[in-house]
Amino acid sequence: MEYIFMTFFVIFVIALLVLFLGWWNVMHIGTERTRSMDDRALFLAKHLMVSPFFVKERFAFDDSLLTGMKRLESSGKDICRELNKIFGSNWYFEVKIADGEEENECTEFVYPDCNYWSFCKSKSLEKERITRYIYTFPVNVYRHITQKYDLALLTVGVYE
Amino acid sequence: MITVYKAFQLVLGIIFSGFILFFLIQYASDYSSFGKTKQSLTVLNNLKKTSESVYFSGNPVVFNDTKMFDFSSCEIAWNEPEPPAIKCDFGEISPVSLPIFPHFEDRKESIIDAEEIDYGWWRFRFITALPEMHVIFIPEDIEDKTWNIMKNLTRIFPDTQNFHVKITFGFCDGNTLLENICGGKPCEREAFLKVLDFYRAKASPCNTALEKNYILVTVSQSCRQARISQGICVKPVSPEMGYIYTPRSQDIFVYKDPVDILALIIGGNEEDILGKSSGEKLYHFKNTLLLKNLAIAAEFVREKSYILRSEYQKRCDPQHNPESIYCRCYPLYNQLYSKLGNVMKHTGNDYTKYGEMEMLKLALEESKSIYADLIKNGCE
Repeated sequence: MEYIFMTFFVIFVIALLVLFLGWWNVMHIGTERTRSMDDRALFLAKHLMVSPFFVKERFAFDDSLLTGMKRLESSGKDICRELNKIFGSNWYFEVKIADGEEENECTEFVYPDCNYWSFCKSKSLEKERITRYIYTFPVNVYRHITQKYDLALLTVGVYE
Repeated sequence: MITVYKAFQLVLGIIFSGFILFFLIQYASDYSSFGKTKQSLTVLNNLKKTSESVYFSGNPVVFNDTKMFDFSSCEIAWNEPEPPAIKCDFGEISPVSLPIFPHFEDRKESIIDAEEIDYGWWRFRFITALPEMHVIFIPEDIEDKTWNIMKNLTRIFPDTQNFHVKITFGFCDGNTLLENICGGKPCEREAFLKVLDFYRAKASPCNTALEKNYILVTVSQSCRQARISQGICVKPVSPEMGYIYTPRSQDIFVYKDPVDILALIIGGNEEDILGKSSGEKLYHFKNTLLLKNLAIAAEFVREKSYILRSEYQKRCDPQHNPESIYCRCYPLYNQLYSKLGNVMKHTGNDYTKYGEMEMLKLALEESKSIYADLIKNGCE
């Protein structure tokens, strides 16, 4: 009788061990997912700061390139869909000149008297409770008309 | 004497033990194969992260972890609508947002380096991840365009001078392998470029038996389908463009930059179950990626030219200051706007057709020339 009890006890312990390992893997996957979203946000920020699509030189955005993209957007072209093929989906970025002024979004009509560009930011992001990973970095923006560099803040966000 | 009860206990014990052992062994084997897959995918993820560092810094590195497992089944592939992925027999990692052209050998270290193609108004930057290899040229004539293509191709490979993973270059002439021609040692990139400056002699087809990591590049005007049995045959038509032939009888590829040739070299001639070689797949991947990115870049820079043309034209006062930067620059931005329109039109061309790629190349050269004028005039 004792042997039967011992056998059942051993089986019970092994089953507990299997369940524990399963739970551990599930927790690990959750942590990995958070880390990968975080890594992605940082990677996007680094890539944007050196990508020839947006910058005049490393860490210096080109204001005329950014405004040109806004012009494309306003003409109905879905530039986010094009950028998603390169950078993936569910992300956005903003560049704001650190001049202490209110945000004045750049379009071809107000350029160069503007200080803010925003791309691929869904309006529903503000309202819905979506997990976001956001990083902000200081960058430069080259102002073509005045041929000067302004300090700006790059904000990159990745969401689920 | 053994009782029935004892016998029953024995039998029950054996059944339960067998049952437990069966599940333990099955779990252990599943977990061990899962564990190996997980480790392989972790190595690939680390390769991706290392490639990103190399892309941003420009400093090449040797990646050792590919020695641990066999990654020869891995290749970069499309994963639309998402960015590309590195796909292997055991799994894949994605997204791979940077242009990476990898070549994996069984359990070999890789050297990761970044290079770029400069179009003036844009640069296509990419990563190569290559194992140790020896590139052997067989130039069948001494024309300038032959030597030009050898130099351009050599420049695209990493300079492995300070690394233990070596990419070396040499020549083969019939039965003679000319490898140790840089002070008695194999030539790495910079040394071989110097050799190409002063050495010029034609070679006959290579008959020497070579190891697997030797890549033969024949440069000849008499390349044709199925002429060569190993490596590739490059037929320059103009200084920058020509055709590439592989050992497979039906393949002719057009090159418009050295990276086209590089893709076929590093991809290799091993075929999959559908009969497509890895080099062919990498060549198609590279061209699809380049043309997509080029189209986007041309569109963005064209819009920029539009904006700056308008702004500079508004500020140009030809009567009072005709030499001002505004008056110098706006006509150039106007030209760039027009030329980039041509570039955009031709990015939709078929990259396997010489004539269509020639038109794209011309549009790119014209736009690059105007951008150079913009820089010369202080506009950029």
